[in-house]
Amino acid sequence: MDRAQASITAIETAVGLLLVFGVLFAFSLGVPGAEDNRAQAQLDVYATDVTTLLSNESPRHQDQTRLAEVAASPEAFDREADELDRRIEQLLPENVMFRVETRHGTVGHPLPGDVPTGEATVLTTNGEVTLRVWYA
Amino acid sequence: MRAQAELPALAVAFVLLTSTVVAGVVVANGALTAAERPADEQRLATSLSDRLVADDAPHTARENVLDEDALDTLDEAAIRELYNVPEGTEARVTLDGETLVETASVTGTTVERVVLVERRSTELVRPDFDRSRNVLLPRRAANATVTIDAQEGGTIEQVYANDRLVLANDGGLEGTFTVSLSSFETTTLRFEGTGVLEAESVQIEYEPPETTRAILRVNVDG
Repeated sequence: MDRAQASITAIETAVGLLLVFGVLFAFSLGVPGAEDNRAQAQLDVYATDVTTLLSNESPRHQDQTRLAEVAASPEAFDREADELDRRIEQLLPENVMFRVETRHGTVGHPLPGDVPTGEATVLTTNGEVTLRVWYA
Repeated sequence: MRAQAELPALAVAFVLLTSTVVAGVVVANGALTAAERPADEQRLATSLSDRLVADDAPHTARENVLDEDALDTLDEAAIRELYNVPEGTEARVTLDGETLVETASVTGTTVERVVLVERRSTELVRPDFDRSRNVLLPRRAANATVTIDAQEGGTIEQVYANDRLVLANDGGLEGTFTVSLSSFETTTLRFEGTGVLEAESVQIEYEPPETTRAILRVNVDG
């Protein structure tokens, strides 16, 4: 019996090379996620900056700071919500949208589902206030 | 008859495999390094910006509020010494597009911070005490300098800032005093004493701060 035999070595080499080329190809495409991380970090920094500024700002009427005032009571919230909206709009860059959540209500745009969002929470004397920001 | 691996084929196979693996590792290393560099620069830029807007930074009035007068002294030496940017790392700091400091041409990663720039203006109030002994200071400030030069006919014995006693002297106040005020509410100063107060008796000087929002961009090349 004289059958030609495929060289098993050649086949093993081919399979091995295929495996290594596959991994090489994946790496040559680049490691993902760098862009997204940068956007996420920048948004977190925006939110932290704005909450820092607001928590050190004088209130319009009473209470210790502007953020504490808006979280004080439902009446205070209704009274201060528009002004807070305007002030945050003034502070954040133009292409950034925001949402403020307090115990008595929320201010700003509805949260989008799938974009990176930055967040900062401040504990005031009247409860927690959370600011979320994202790129428009 | 057993199948036998061919020796030359094996040798060629080893060489091919080894060289492919080496090439693979080189490419992988290159890709990982390229991905790490922006993250490192991002960290450097974020920590430099944190130091620039910190409460105890030399050029800020409080956290995230820059002092406009102090910004003139923010130069390359300040960046290297006060803010710990080592030689070899280049940085550029701009405020609303205007470059404050640039150590070299920088292309690395940028971090933006939202800040307020505070300007202090001096206001002088000379009340004429026409109908009342109260003086309303229209802008909020942390303190005020009150100069009392009591004229004939009237003395000032106590000074109240929004019902809080800040100055008192039963024999009559005279001279220049600094009183601290609440920066969270508008202050009305009340001058209690005897007689009729003349218009020249009191001069109040205070420095209400004025803030504008700006974007501070910190660009670092590591």
